[in-house]
Amino acid sequence: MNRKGIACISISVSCLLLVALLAGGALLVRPAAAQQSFAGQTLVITDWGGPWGESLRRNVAAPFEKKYGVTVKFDVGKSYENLAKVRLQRHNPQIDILFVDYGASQWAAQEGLTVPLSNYAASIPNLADVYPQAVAPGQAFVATRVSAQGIMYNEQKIKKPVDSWAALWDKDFEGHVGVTGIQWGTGKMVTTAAFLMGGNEKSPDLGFNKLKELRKIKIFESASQVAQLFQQGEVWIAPQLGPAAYALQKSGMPIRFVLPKEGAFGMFDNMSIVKGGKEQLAALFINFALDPAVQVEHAKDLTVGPTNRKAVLPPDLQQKVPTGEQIGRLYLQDDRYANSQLPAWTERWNREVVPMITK
Amino acid sequence: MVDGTVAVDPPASAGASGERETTTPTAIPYLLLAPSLLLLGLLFGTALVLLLALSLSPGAIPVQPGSSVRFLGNYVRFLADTYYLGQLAVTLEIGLLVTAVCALLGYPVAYTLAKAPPGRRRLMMAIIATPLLTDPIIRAYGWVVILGNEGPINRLLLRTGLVDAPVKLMYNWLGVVIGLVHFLLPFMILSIASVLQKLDVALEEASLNLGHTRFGTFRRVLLPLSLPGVMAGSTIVFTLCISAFVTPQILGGGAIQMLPNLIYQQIVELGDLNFGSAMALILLVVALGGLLGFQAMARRLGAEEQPS
Repeated sequence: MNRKGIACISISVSCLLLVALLAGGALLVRPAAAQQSFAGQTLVITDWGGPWGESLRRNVAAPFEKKYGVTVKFDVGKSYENLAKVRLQRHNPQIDILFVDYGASQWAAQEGLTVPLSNYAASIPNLADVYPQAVAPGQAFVATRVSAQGIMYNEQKIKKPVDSWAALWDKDFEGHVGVTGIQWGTGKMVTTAAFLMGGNEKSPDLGFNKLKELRKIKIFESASQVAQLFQQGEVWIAPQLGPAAYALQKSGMPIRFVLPKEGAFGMFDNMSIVKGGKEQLAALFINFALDPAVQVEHAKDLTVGPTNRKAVLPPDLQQKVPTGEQIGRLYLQDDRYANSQLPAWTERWNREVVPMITK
Repeated sequence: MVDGTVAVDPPASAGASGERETTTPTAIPYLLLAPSLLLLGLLFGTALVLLLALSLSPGAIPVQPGSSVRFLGNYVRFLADTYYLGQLAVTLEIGLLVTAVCALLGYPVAYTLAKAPPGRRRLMMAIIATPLLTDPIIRAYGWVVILGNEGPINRLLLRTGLVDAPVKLMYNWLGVVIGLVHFLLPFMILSIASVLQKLDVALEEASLNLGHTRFGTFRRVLLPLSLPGVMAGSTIVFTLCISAFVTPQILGGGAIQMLPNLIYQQIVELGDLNFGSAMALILLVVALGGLLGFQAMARRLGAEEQPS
């Protein structure tokens, strides 16, 4: 009895001491009261992985963790895979920030899976400095980086100058051409083909008919997949995003990246606050990712364009990535429309295009 | 044979021998089964019910809104469309081909495995199981390197002058079959070997003594007795094959779309849970059909080959 009592008291005392110690430690380490409340929390953000994920970890997530004393976890997958996760977890969100392409962000906002940034306007002051093209209508989501989708080709295998999407249809390269799958950028391949017929995503018939002229095509779904096809010499020319092309170039491949004359696509990587997640912390992370200094480091590392107009890049980088008024010159597909058409386009792609072009 | 197995009776392929071995009816086996049955029933059953419920609601592309087949719209969309039936046929063809190749390649290995002394058998088992220890994506990309236009096989063929241009070994059905056989062969080998191991070596010796050739012994004695193993292996290989997703995705290069890839496309890329669920249930029914088919085949073959 007596023994038990002593044990109880000593346990309580040590517990109290421990709590006091922790509290004191926390006070010492984190002086700001607002930041204190997040310490120890975990923020989950979706990501594409590969060089994208590594660069986001180094330049955005790691300094954010340090500043707020939180842990940032990545949930890796393609845009639509990550959208599917958020959709299936709608009653019990495990993801706090949906970081995906424009089409998937648009879809999430439309389904009410995310909340507008304006709900947390006070936490995202950097939003005021972002290029207007990078902010979705109604502040549904914001792009933290932008890249151009153009043509990547192996300059050792292809000697003639490439300046048009028509190069993908060039018979000289037959058997060595790659195209993106239908879900990539919400049907960008259909729009690409339509460009050559004087149309765009609003005239998909032109695109589908042009696509059907292709033969012996490799279809790829991810940047890592096409990088491998290039490394193995299977594919010499394919549509690609600037950062992926420059990453391959950095690795020593004889790669050139060009913006075709019919129009290169502006591809925005957007962050949305997932409804019911750690919304406040998510807003702070988005503000952090929009910070000019953070964006410059991320841009240098990944060869990607910043979206904050105050982020000034070194001149050599400015030529490689879309900045400033260049963003205005990129073709921005109407992804809201494309989203509504994607089920029908997928049907046509599966039955009309895939069997023909892989022959 | 060495580890003291004395199963003289052929395994219960004829159905009659099974009855003799039944133990006294007690509740104990059922009690032992209860936890796993309950867990499976709850998880699998709930999932199945959800899947069924989802499949009965209209998907992204409704079929004739307001028609009499309202609840079955997703099924009609699949079953009345030659494109989807064609993809189902491709899935089944690849499934049967992979099963047949696994049986042909796996039988000799299983025989060697069954006849090997225990020490060597363990080593062989470990080697055979290695494909299962590798991540499916890594495994598929390994084949991409080997089968590529500039891979070792094509380089060898080109250097020896056997071909003028690289042979297309992947991004078609061939690559998918190679990748799936690599993945599924261990299941076939281990299934057949487990049956062969239990066969009394005396049966084989008797057959040889009584004048059968080696092939005759295989044809009339070994094969019929090991058929249950082949069929068990085929069931596993076939069902895993028609539900494979990663291997066809990577080694098919977009050219081969098996049913699981189309289900993924609907559910993940298009968010059409309804049509995706209907396709998943159709695949499940087909897999169950295959299972019953293999069992019926085993029973028929077993009955025919049973020495009377």
